[in-house]
Amino acid sequence: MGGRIITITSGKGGVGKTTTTANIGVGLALLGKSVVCVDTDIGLRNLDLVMGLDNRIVYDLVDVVEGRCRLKQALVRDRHLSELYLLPAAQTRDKTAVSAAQMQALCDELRKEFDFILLDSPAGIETGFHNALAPADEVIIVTTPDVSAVRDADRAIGFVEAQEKGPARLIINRIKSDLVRKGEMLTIEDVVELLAIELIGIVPEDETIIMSTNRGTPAAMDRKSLAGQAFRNIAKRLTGQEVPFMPLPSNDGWLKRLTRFVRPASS
Amino acid sequence: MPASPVVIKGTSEGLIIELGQGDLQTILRELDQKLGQSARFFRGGRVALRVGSRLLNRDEIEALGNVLYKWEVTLWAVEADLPETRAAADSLGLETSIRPASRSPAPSREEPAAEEKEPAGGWVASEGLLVRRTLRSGASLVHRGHIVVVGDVNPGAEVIAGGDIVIWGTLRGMAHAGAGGDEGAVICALRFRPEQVRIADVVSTHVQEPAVSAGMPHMAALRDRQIVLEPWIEGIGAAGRHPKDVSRRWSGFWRWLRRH
Repeated sequence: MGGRIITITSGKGGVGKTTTTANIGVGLALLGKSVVCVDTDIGLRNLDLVMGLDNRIVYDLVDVVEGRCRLKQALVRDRHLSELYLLPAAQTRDKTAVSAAQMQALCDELRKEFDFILLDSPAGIETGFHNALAPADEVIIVTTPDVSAVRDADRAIGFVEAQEKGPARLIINRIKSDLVRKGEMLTIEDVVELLAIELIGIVPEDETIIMSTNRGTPAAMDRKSLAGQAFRNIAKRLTGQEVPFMPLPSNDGWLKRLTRFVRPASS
Repeated sequence: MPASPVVIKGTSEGLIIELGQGDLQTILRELDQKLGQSARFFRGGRVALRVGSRLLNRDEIEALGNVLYKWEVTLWAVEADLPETRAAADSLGLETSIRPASRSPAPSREEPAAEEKEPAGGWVASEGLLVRRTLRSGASLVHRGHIVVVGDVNPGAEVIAGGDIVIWGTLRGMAHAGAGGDEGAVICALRFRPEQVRIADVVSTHVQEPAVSAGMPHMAALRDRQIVLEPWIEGIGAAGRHPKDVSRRWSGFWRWLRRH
């Protein structure tokens, strides 16, 4: 059997697929698993930046597929975690450089070496998305709680189901709890009811994500980061641990918190 | 190298192209290649597609048809296990069964029934279409009869029926009943949150469950060229029923009265 191939996708761009991939990768590596994060967004390489490995790339995924190097030569080891690797995308090529069958063969190779193979899918529902989906054992759908992201996530789930991949599980990213409370944002319940797939993570909007992305150190490394904690929890759930969802942060004053505590709101 | 996802067979019913596993892009490429290899053999011919349990929508069937058309081959039938795929083929005016009776592709040369036909056909267009799955964004279900969906219809999905539509779930996308012009068609849903509903040629973008009956099942029907939505109340039916149904109910009632 070997490792598990998990594709992380969303339909819409900018909802945090790459950040999610990097952080779950870190989370799993912190649990002692061997992990490789594969950037399948050929032509729009990003995962290397988020993981802070951009200056260490020699070969990339397309080089491996086209036989210019061995797989091991293209793998970039993380600066902090010895069990975490990156297989970068090519920046100078496009999606047609790799076929679904080649992707499948590549992942089957990686499966022998790693516990987890995380595929960071490109946005959209075109070739690149289908290539990232083809080898998947499991799929994680990332969405933010806004109508356009949710509709695109729904479309992506439709493809996952049509190709009998899955089970697809859901991460709701960038929840702004004060907006939800004011009724200005879709609630977690709204999103889950519409998409009707298992929820595996809720990640609050958190400034530490932006800082950590720019620094090239995923927030999951940061013990104090709330979003980092959420991603570490997701990693634990992926390994089968039962971890309760954390309460969302609030900017309310102590009095309001106290009244909520006295009269608990519906979870 | 796995078996080719495109297999071309000559049978007593003419040429049949069987589609196997794999994504559609690969299949389209493979099909193009295969036809190209023996272009002269296929030119001017007619073929049927046997797609098995693959789910194909109208666009995808059209894409397959276009590849065939490029090599001057005509698609006349799509044989599929899934009713949705059959409905999509039917809505493009294609046959959904490769039975010789329906339309023999050419004057028969060799008559003997070479192989038993599997019972994939037997689907009559005027029947209802039952779909047991949630229609997600981008899904399009078109059928000339009635449509029943056991599941939700999500935003960005559409259901278009010549007859009535029943959604055993939440309608959040678009539903068009009586698409052929039937003004008596109705749309029923357990929960009504549509982007838009259409009955015959009437379009409404603001059909909302009234606050008093929110969460109850509702039925939308045309009255005075307006789409009206009424809650479905146990034992009574739609509160302000469609005139046609009301008269039918009442005539039954009078018959019952006369007998007692």
